[in-house]
Amino acid sequence: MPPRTSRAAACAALAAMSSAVPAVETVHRVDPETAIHSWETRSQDVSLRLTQILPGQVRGFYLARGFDAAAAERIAHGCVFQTVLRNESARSVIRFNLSDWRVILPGETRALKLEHDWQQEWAGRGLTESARSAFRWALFPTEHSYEPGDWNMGMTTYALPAGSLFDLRFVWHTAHAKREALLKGLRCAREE
Amino acid sequence: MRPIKNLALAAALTLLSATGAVPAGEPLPAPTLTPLPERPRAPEFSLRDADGKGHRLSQHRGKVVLINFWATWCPPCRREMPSMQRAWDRLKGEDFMMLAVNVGEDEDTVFAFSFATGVTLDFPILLDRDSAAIRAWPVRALPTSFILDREGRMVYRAVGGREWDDPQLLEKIRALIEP
Repeated sequence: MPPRTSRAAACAALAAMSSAVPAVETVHRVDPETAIHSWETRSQDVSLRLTQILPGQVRGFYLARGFDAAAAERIAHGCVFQTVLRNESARSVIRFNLSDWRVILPGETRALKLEHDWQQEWAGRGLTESARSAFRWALFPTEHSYEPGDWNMGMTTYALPAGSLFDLRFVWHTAHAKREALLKGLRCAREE
Repeated sequence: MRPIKNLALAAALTLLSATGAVPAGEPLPAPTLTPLPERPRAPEFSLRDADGKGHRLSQHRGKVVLINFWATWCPPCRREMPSMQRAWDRLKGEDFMMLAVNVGEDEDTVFAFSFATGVTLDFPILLDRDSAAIRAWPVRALPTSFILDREGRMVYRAVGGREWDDPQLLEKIRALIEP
């Protein structure tokens, strides 16, 4: 069975907080077998896809990499998405820094929870170096530059309760301009 | 094999398949390599492969080398592995070496992964268990690959997976082998 797909056209009347950011056409899919949701958009030079990772999947992944149950539980309930960003342009280098990206909730805008934030937590919990290293490489890089054809995949975390609805303002830079777009209607995975 | 190794691989495979991380219809990666005009010297490393044999990068000086940093849980890494084997097969007998540097995992996990792919990977897979080697390289995400010239200098970089047997990529590699 093909995935269910719905297309949300750009909304004319965005909330005041995000009114300066163009909403981009978002393709929303639901895997018919797993009920996992994904959202994908292409905007100018880049494409971005976020796919829910279920808490149980996150928990299993990190337990197998040396995390104790409490630490794995922290990430599992961190609202985790598999994230794929591609430089789709033929010529431009793009740069991004996830600290520029924003979670937009009703009446509130907040930053993502980044590797630096997590590593501070792990340092206090005495996690092994190998576990912390696995964590670092499994996360989407906080900042990077992609030449044409470059792309990558990794986890991004949003520190929101399971089932939370939010929009994501994502930002990237080309050689001459800062660009941003709004990915609308994301939902954190619920416990399966 | 200890149970934890099976658990590690099972968790990775579950994560990858259940998230639809490499869905059917995923576009093929662009056959691009980014030139590094400064051609910086590649950092030396000394690592053991999955069979316990030691490899120093500098021992391959005189050959063009493809270095690929990867992990079994990384979907684009998994996806490009069969194409690396095909490229390895096509370039056999030429002055070429391919080194796949696994980051942070052990030989049991790598063997289990190799078995699960159904493809015989017969190029060296090196184990960077403590991530010491990768830290010396300009790598921020997996997979990242580099093509080194015969003098051990970085000529090209690729961030994200590629189809390594793409004719355009093979042509670039061959141009370094036979300038």
